Parts: sequence; C-alpha cells; structure tokens
Amino acid sequence: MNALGALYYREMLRFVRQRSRLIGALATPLLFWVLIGGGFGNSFHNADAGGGNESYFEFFFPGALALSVLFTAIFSTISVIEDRHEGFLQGVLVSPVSRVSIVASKILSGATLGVIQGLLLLLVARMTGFHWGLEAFVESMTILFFMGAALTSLGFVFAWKLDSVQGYHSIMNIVLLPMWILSGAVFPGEGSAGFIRIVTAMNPLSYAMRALRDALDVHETSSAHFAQGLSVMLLLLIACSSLSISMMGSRKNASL
Amino acid sequence: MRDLHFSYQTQSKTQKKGSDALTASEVLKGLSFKIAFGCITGLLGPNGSGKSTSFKILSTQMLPSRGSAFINGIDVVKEASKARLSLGVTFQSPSLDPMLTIHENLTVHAALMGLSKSEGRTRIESRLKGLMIWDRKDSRVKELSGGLARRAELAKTLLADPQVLLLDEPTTGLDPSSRREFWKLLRALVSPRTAILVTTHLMEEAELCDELIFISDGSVAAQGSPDALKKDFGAEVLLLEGVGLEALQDSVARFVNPNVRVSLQGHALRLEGTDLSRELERVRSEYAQALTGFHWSRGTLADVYLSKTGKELVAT
Repeated sequence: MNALGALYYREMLRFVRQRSRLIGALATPLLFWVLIGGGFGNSFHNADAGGGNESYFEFFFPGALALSVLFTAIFSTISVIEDRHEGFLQGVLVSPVSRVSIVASKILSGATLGVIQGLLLLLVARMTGFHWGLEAFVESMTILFFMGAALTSLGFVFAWKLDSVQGYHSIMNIVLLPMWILSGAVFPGEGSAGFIRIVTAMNPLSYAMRALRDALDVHETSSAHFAQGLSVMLLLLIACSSLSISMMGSRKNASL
Repeated sequence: MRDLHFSYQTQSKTQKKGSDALTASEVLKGLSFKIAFGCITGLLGPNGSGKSTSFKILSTQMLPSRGSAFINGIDVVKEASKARLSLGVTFQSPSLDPMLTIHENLTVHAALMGLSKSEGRTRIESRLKGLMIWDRKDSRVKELSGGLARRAELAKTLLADPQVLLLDEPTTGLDPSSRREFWKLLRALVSPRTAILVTTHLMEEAELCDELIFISDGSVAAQGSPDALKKDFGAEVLLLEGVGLEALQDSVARFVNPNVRVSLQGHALRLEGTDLSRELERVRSEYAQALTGFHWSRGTLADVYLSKTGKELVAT
C-alpha cells in the first residue's frame, strides 16, 4: 500500500466507524428532499422544465443529491481540523510523505463518499418511482464525483486555515450552504431577481448543478452542459487543491 | 543546530494611537548544540525556554528565522523530506488516530514511511512484540491507558528504524510507574547507530540522560553529562533562613570565601560552593541574630540549572 492508499484507507475506516456521520450525510438530504420537495408540492410550477409538468419533488431531487455531496465534503474536511487537534496531522507532516498525497487522499475520499451517498439516494429515488437509464446513472455519478472532489478541495482550503470546528461551521453557513442554494438546486435561476442571477452565474456549483439536472432529465439530450459542468468542477478542483498543497508546504504557516 | 534564531511577530496596541503594531518576539537567540549517537541527550528547560521551538525546527515542523539545523548531516531547512527519512518523532500529545486500532495506525504509518506491505507487517509485529503490546494490537487507541498509548506511540516512532529519535516530553500525562517503564524502554533503544533527543522539564528524567543541554531564554546555558554538570557546579548548596536576609546578601558575600557564590532564593540566602560546613559555622556565629535555620544539600541538577541560568525549573 502506498502513502496515498494508506491515508485513503484510513479515511474510509473512519467513515464506517462514525455511524452518525453516515446517517447525517445521507438522512439530511433525504429529509430535505422529502420535506421541502413534498412541502412545496404542486405550488411550484417550473415553466422551463422540459416536460412542462415537473413537480417540485422532481425538480428538487438533483439539489438533494448535490446537498448530500456537499455534506460529505464538509464532514470530510472537518476531519482536517480534528486531525490537527487529535495530533494525527502533525505525525503525518513529519513523515516523508508528499503533501500532494495528503491532500489527494482527503479529496479522493470525499469524492468517493459523495458518490456512494449519491448512489444510495438515486436508489431510494428509483424505489419511489423515478426511472433513469444506465447513461443517466453514469453521467450523474461522474458529475457527483467531480462535484465531491471540487467541494472537498474547497472545504480543505477553509479547514486548513481554521483552528476550530465552530469556525468551520460559520464558513459552512456563510459560504458553502449559500453556494448550494444559489446553484439552481433549490429554485430555478431564470425567475430570480437580477443580483441573484448574477451570483448564480458566478457560482461554479451552478454549472455542475445544471449538468446534473440535465443528466437526470429524460427530456434533455444536450451534452454541452455536462462538459461545461465537469470543466468548471475540474478547474475549481485544480485551483483549490493547488492552494491546499501550497498552504500545507509552508512550514512557517503550519499551525500544529 | 547552529546559531539558530526563531522569532515570531505579535500584535500589540500602541499607546499613542491605539493602533495595532507588530513586535518581534525572539524565542531562539543563537542556539547551537550537537547531539551524539549512542546516547540519550536531554534538552532541559522550563516552559518558554525555547525547547519546544527547537524541537519543532528539528522535526521539520517549523523554519528558523536564520541559522541552520542538521539531522544526520541533512539540512532540515533545505532538505526537509530527506531529513524526515532519518527521523522518528514522538510528540508530547498523542499522534495516533484514536478511532483506529494500534495495528491499523501502524499499517498506515508504515506506508507513510515508504515501507513495503510485507516489510511493514514484519516490523509492526517486531515492534509491538518488543514493546509488549502485541496482544493489544487490535484495540482501538482511544481504549488504551496512557501508558499503553505511549508505548504504541513509541512503536510508531520506531517503525522505520530511525537513526535519530526526537521525543518531546514523551512521558507527559503518565503516572510515575509508567514513566519509569517508558524510560526503561527508551534505555533499551540506545545503540551506536541511534541518536536520541528528549525534551523534558523533569529532574528525575534529566538524571536518566547520558548528556544534558540546559536551555534558557533561547540559548544553551550549559551542556554535559549529569555527573559532570553537578561536579562542575561544586556539589553543595546551603540555604540560610532568617529575618531581613535580603539586606545582608552583600555583607555575607564579602564575609565568606570568595569561591562561594551568594544569592537570594526567595527570602533565603543561597550559598553555593565546596566545603560549606566550615562556612556554615563561620556565618552562624557572625550572623547569629539574623539566622533562624539552615538547609544543606548536595547540588542537584535543579541547583545546577539555577546556578547556570538564574532561573528555577519547576519540578512536577
């Protein structure tokens, strides 16, 4: 087992041993989907939906998937702060392992767990009457993987700079959750106020959301959004992981 | 470590305008020392003396402001990754993942140290058996007692067979019997191809080292074996108790043999030197009215530290 594999293995072990984390990351989006999706019910009418008769329950499903990935990314990167407090991180930093492996293990594990939880949600949805083909599954899993990787790398940047889980929760509330809300996950951007549309257009998650929505939409056949969504997530991933590696390599700034 | 300096900037309010200003606090001021293979070297100093900063620089966690530090001939500033291959580090606080078992932790660490799967497996078994915790290998770290957890930490430190062991107050939080047990294990690790550096502020641990480096205010105050340091110190301490002794310090210093050092320790007068029994008789007759009692002892490392640095080590 190489260093990256070992750290990835550890992340997975920690995940399966933290049942509350598994339940929280899966149950929260499921609850959001059922309660918000069901709550709005027929009072929502999306004129832009392909079929013209899409319920909010259907509209909100890709948003719930993205939320499960977001929660996984958040929990995965909170562990950076826990690792620092528990001392594990300083043990890793004084070993000869490359900083790239440390960052990559966190990102890969966050992305893997995001995909697993997304898959579970898709299975739940399928049992409740949603039907997608194999192509939709593959496309949505691909988007969820890159979305998970990009969001985990973004979370890593914040977590590396913060010393407390409480501080991270603040960032979650003022950056990560609004990022999800303004991605077209909760409401379609087209009918929003002008400034919301601008922020939505600037939000990288919007492009991944559109790609995910298209992948799960039987009426949609365009692959342009898929490529665009993946490219934006890849760019965010490269930018944030490079920043994380650079911050980690700076020994003067390392608060151990 | 050669002429090592480390400073950090702190923010303070300036009195005039109430604005923030950056002031540099120097933690290490030209610290230089060498440690030898085949022995345990203790870095001794109170909190804030600079020993933890030195430890962090040597273990490649921090960069010095200037100066250089070498591990086994490798520059820890310029070639940190290479230096880490020779290093085994035990921190004051635990560094094992509490949610993983000892074996899982060591498996991860073996991979981080670049060991192959089979080599890692062999070494984990060997280290855990050597430290007598093989039967607990499947216990999660969070379930271990303090002593067992420290052994597991040591097993991790030794996994890659490091040439230089750095241990930062490794017995913190252990009871006296676990502490003694830990030092027995440490002593067993001494070999001609291993150098061991232990930071401590405990006198009983300092006595167990082969070589000691006294560190105070960011520089080395003295270095030598515990016996040599005590011998060099003069080996006797006389504490004179009484009333108004602060005012008598200069007078007593002039009265006693010039080789005897006189200082204040709290409200008592402290005399350091050799053949103090004769001085005691003379001082007692000369200052009979001011003296109420005395305490004589052979010099301890704490006395040596006080003598060299003018500061007391707080023993716990």
